[in-house]
Amino acid sequence: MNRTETLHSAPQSTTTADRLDSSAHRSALLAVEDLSVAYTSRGVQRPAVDQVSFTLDRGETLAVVGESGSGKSTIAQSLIGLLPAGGNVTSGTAHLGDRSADLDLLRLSDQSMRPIRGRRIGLIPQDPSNSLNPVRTVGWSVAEAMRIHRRGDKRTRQRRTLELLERVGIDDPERRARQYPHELSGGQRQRVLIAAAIALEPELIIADEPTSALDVTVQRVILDLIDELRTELNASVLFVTHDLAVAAERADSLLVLHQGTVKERGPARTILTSPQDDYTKRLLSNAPSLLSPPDRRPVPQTDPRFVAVDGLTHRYKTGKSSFAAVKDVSFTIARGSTHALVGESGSGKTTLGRAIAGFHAPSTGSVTVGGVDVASARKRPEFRKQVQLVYQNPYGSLDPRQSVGEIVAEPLRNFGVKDRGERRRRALLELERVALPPEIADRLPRELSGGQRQRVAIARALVLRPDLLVLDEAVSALDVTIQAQILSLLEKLQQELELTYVFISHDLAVVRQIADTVSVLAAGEQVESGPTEAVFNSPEHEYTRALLSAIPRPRITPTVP
Amino acid sequence: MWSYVLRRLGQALLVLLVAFTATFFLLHYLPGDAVIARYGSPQLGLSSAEVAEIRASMGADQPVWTQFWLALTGFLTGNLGYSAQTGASVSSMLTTALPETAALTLTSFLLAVVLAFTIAFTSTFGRFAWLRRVMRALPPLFISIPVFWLAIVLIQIFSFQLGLVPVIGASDLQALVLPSLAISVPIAAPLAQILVSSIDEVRSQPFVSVVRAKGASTNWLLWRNVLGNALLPALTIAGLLFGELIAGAVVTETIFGRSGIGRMTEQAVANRDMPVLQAIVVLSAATFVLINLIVDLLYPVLDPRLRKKVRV
Repeated sequence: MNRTETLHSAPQSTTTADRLDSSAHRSALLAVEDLSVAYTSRGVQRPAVDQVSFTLDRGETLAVVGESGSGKSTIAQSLIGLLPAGGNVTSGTAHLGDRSADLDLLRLSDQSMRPIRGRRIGLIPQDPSNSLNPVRTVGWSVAEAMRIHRRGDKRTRQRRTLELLERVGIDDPERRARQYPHELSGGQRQRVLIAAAIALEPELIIADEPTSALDVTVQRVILDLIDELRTELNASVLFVTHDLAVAAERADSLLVLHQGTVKERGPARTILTSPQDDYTKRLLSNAPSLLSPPDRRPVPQTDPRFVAVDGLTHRYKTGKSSFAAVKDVSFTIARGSTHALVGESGSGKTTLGRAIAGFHAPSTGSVTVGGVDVASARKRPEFRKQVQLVYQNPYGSLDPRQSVGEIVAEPLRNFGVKDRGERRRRALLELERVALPPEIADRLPRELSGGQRQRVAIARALVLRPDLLVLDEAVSALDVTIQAQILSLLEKLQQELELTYVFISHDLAVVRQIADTVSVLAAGEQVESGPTEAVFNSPEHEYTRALLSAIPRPRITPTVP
Repeated sequence: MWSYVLRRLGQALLVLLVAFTATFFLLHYLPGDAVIARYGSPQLGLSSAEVAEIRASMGADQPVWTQFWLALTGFLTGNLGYSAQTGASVSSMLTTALPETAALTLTSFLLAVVLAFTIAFTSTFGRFAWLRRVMRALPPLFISIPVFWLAIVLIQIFSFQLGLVPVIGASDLQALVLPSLAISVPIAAPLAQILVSSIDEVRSQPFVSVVRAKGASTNWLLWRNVLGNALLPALTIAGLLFGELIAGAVVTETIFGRSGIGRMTEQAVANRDMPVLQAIVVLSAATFVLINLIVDLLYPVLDPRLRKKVRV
């Protein structure tokens, strides 16, 4: 909401382009030149970052954008001197502050780095769930940097802690300061971590994927907060993210990183409107966009009530009390179409998905798939032939000791295909269908990339020829380029095999791309349901509008040639 | 909170009753008894009628259930019975032996804790890589050293060769040094192992980098952040190691000739001295249960996540 205000008070965003190239500019806070980092494991040196140079001006936000393995976090870690074991800076300089001060972050010892950490550079970490000491109070963690750097006496530290907590929007700071991290929500924890990072008013704030573990509405508030604080403290923000949309919305300039090298750098506007590098172009075109809805083929009308959810309520019992995770939800899905369940964490979308897949019987209400009642059919093995589930985490859902071929063939064994050769033949067929080469059948899951693993999980789900697939955040853990590939694979499979999908996701952009119809869930209640375009273009419920407006939107429309 | 403590105390009483009953019947059905052990020797020249009479006078001819009932009610009223071997009251035997053993086990335990922490800290936060490696190799070595062997080696080196600790006429404190050391080494080993692995685990958590990014020194990190998180598993093991402590006391008190509970146990077993054994088992069980109750009550003090929700 303070977006425009921030923009006006930071007029440099229009002229960043000129300054990026003149590295000796007076207002440059951080000048990184030829930074190279390598990881050594078992005597083998593997470069992670190769000759990266950039400057960051005072009061500016620079986003380092890249997919996993691009080296973006490594850059942040080497600047603050906290590379993981095996990581080494092999070349380069990183000057902080005035050039005359000649303070090269990369050449400082751990000892001389300590007065800089926390005081001149603040770090906002990636995952708020385990970035706070679990056995210390929130107030203790916020005050920690002040105590380490011996700032003020006990009373002033206490007062400052409460001030900070209040500033980052923690309600009732006095009470919260005495609470422990596990008593706070993810968004509140991230606020606390921000308060701790800015306690000593650092000039440079490194935000390493600060919102990737948060819900979209919380993400927006946290990003707004970082923006406001940057203006207030006249600090610079080095913003590490995999999310091009977030970067485009928040940053003055971008640094696009791929496999450790800079593909493109410059003002956000220039890169979005006229990307020069092929990789940047691909990244832009793969990013699911809310601005241009894809053309979808019409929904087939052979069986409009293939899946029918009717008044479904699911309660979890905890001791004597019970908690309704899903409340009175109804919708239908036509055969061969995709229905998305959208909501934030805790909205009940996974519970609903599991009820459709027959993993638990609903407390009240019913689900039918192909006219068969799931509650009564779910224990019968034949039901599993019809409905399969694909999980979010492709690392956790594959048996690490089985080869890919065995994993894909396992359902066949359970359904009485006795002949080994026959099982193998069908597994290979399924792998081919998900565009994996046959030699992958003999590998173990850990030898595959995240995208390949998710393909294996899909192949395993398909081997029994189900009619319905429940995809629970199936593409959420993947990089955008991989995500785009899996999504197009899913669409291809849907047409080939006349599959019906229940697509569970928190990502509205992805949902708009793949879903024909959508149900929006909030705290277990279905607030809206209908055709995707209708829901997205004219949302009727306030919650849907809030979700939609929270999605990061570049200030400039990206154009992909 | 208090209902929890009461429930745990109730469970503890149940455990004690089971321990009491099990020992009673085990000892009862073992071949031989205290009367045979003491009066059965042909050199004493007692006729079998006379032995039967002694047995009757001690109540050993009663049916097993009557004996059990008498023993149980005796325990409940504080009468632990009399040693079949010496005739002395078991409670007075315990009161003289207990302080000796308490001093021994307590110093051993403190020594073990100090040893374990030293090993754990130097093997995780130690300055030199070679030192960390050497320290990491210590616990497996310590675990494989038998107490009796270590005790004998310690006497050989420190008393006979170096003459640092007198064997005869040592002061109370001097007499404690070697036996405590002998017991503490095998107890320190598992404690150190658990500490090392939990410190490693805590150090790999993201919050540690966040603390370092605030400018924390290694000492700050260890004492104010890592340690509090790493203590919990070590505490569990410490409670369970109490059993080892008693076993260690039996061996070392015998070797060093200390007159404690351990020595008493050894003699009572040799003489089938049922009332004494019965009392020792119940005492050990009671201490074991108590220590583990304390450990359980300490969890929520150390880890706020284990505290019952007080506020809504």
